[in-house]
Amino acid sequence: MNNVVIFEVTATPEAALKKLAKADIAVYRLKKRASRLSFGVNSQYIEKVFAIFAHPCYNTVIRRKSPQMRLKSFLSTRFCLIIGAALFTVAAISSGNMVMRIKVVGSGSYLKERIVAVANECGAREWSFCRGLDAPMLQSRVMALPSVSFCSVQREGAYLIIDVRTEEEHSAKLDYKPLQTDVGGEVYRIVAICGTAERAAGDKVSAGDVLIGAYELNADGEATECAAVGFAEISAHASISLFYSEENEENTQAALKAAALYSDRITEQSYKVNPCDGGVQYEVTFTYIKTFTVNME
Amino acid sequence: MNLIQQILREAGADLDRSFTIVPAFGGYFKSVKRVEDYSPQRIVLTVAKMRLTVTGEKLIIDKYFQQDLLVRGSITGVTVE
Repeated sequence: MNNVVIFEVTATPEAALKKLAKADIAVYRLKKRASRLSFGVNSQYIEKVFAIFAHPCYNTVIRRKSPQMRLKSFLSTRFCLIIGAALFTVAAISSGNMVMRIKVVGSGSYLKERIVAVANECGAREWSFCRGLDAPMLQSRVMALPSVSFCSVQREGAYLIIDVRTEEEHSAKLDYKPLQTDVGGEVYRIVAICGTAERAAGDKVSAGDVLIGAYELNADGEATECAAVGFAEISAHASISLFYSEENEENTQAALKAAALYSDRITEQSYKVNPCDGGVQYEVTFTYIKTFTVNME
Repeated sequence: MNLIQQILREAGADLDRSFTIVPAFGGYFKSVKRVEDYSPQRIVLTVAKMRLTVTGEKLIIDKYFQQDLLVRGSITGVTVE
């Protein structure tokens, strides 16, 4: 019954049934539609029915084709569309396995050439299928590169993303030591962003004294460990001795410049000239500012 | 059709000249020599030497092949002449 073609003819039911019965054709779903008569026959009898009702007066038409005929007609008229849809489906399915680009991201992106070479060896190539990509192997081989401390491999659409981090990124670790001075003198300025300042501006300090402690005090006065962040400037005194053949303006300027080499932030300086064997001794005394920092990089 | 035939056979009916009516469904007629007349309200059949007039509503000839005829629709009456 699935392969039934519905015909429509202009004829009386009695005449149509008589002709079809005579031809030994099974008739299905015979109905009257005003002056027209519709009936179904098996699709193999299409030509026979047209032959029986060949006269123009019958005005024979196929009102509905069988499902097989409709499918055949559908496929034949939409051949290009079906081919296109098939190609699209194949492309959509295969795109999941295709790598169009390998992207190296993270601080280790400067190693891109070497990482891409490693990826190629592990089965991932740009503009190619990479069904055989061995991600753990790729990861371990990238990790084996010098200075690489982290690597992750993941697919994002047609992209293969390799995230690489190098050790430089992790070397800037916090120093949990307090800020200490290595010169004696007077605190010129002190700024504690984190931690506790143990000295104030104007305090006298000796070499090794703690300037900013790596702790914070809560309301109850209890100390909680933390990283010290800040800087301090110490005003220190120093003197240098230099020997010249004689005292003159040129040698004086040279002696003062020598002191400037010691520090570029000299706040006060003075000199004395003492005669000695074979010339003079310049003794330059100066005050300079030395800066100490902790975790300020 | 085979089931109907089996039922009729076991009921002792004359299978060559018989018809079966199922209310609100239709009817099955055997040995139909000719369809004399057809309209959605009336079908006239020649069965052997008898003339059957089937009346009802929305009648359609669902199948007619080798003297077997299946009528679908609401049959309200059959007259034998």
